[in-house]
Amino acid sequence: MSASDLPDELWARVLELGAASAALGFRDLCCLAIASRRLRRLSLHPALWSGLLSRDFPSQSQPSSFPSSSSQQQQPDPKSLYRTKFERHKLRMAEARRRAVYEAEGRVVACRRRLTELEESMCAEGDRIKATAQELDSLERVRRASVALNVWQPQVVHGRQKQLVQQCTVPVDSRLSALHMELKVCKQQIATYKNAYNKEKLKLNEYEEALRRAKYHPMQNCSDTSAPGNEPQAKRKRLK
Amino acid sequence: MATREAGKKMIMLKSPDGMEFEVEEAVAMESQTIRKMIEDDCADTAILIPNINSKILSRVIEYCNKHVPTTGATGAAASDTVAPAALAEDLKIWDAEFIKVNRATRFDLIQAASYLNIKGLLDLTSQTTIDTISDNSLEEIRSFLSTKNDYLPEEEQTIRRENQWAFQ
Repeated sequence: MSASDLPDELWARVLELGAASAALGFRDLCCLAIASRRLRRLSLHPALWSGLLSRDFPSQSQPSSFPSSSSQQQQPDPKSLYRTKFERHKLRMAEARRRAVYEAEGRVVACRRRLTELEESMCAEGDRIKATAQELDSLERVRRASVALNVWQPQVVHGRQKQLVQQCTVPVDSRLSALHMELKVCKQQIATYKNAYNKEKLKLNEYEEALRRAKYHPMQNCSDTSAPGNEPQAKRKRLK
Repeated sequence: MATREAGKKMIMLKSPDGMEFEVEEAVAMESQTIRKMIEDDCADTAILIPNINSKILSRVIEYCNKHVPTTGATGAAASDTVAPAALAEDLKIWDAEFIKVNRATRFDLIQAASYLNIKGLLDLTSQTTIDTISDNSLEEIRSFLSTKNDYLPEEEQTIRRENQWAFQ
């Protein structure tokens, strides 16, 4: 079954729920109106628009000229009423919209910044791992040498090993275990960073998507209808 | 509920394609439609659910099974001690997973939920549909709802102009 098989009254219920939960705004309803004849008819349902009216313009719901207009005839349909109010408060609405875009942009920027930070920490952690591994390597050589001292070896080798052991000033065993520990910690840290990085990356996608939507304008895309929006449904926002 | 005393009374649900599902009465009664049938005694043991094929019906039963108030035989005491908030959170996660279905199935579920009158499921499916609409572009809406643009070009221009105010 597809959306078009869904009976009108169910669609109406779906839309009403959307309007009631504030998930559908006037832009969405207008978008629906452009999508097809049927969706237009459904999106024009007065209840939807009166809901939006009382939500978006709560203060000035009916103070002015209400008695007269209701007496002369039925009110104009809620959508045009909404539009009139919208035009009257255009500045405020535009302001709100701009703010929404700014906020979306801000989130994207912050997200990008966090990503670079994470990258840097990962790099630093990687360097630490390298340094630790190096030290571990040389210590391991010392340890091996000190073990080898216990068995007989040619003088030359013995001397070199002895020198190696004597040069080493740190207590080898404790240092070794400390280094192993550090290596483990580093690896864990990197795993954590990677995890955070991936999550942040997902969020970035989501925010960029949100930004794109906030900026969306159907009139601008009017000419180039070549880009059909067939993108995966997978990312849906309920991830949070 | 009375059904608890009677142990687990089972009800047979039949889909039109001949599959039968045996469910606990309490689970079946998540559907107000079935509840009414049972309370009115017009259902003895088997109920034929028209219009809902077995694939969808089994998913609906899955939903009801999960959402039936947790007083069932399986550790009633244990589930009562779990904080209700945590339980609700669990359910939410489960729901989110449950509704990850393709569009066609989702619309089937909407219709089934509406027919069987299962408010939770209807709300869940509706909300998911709304999410695909809200803040999406025209093209996305069309593709999500598999809606054909049935306007004539000049007609569409008019409609677009009519609705332009919302996008300035």
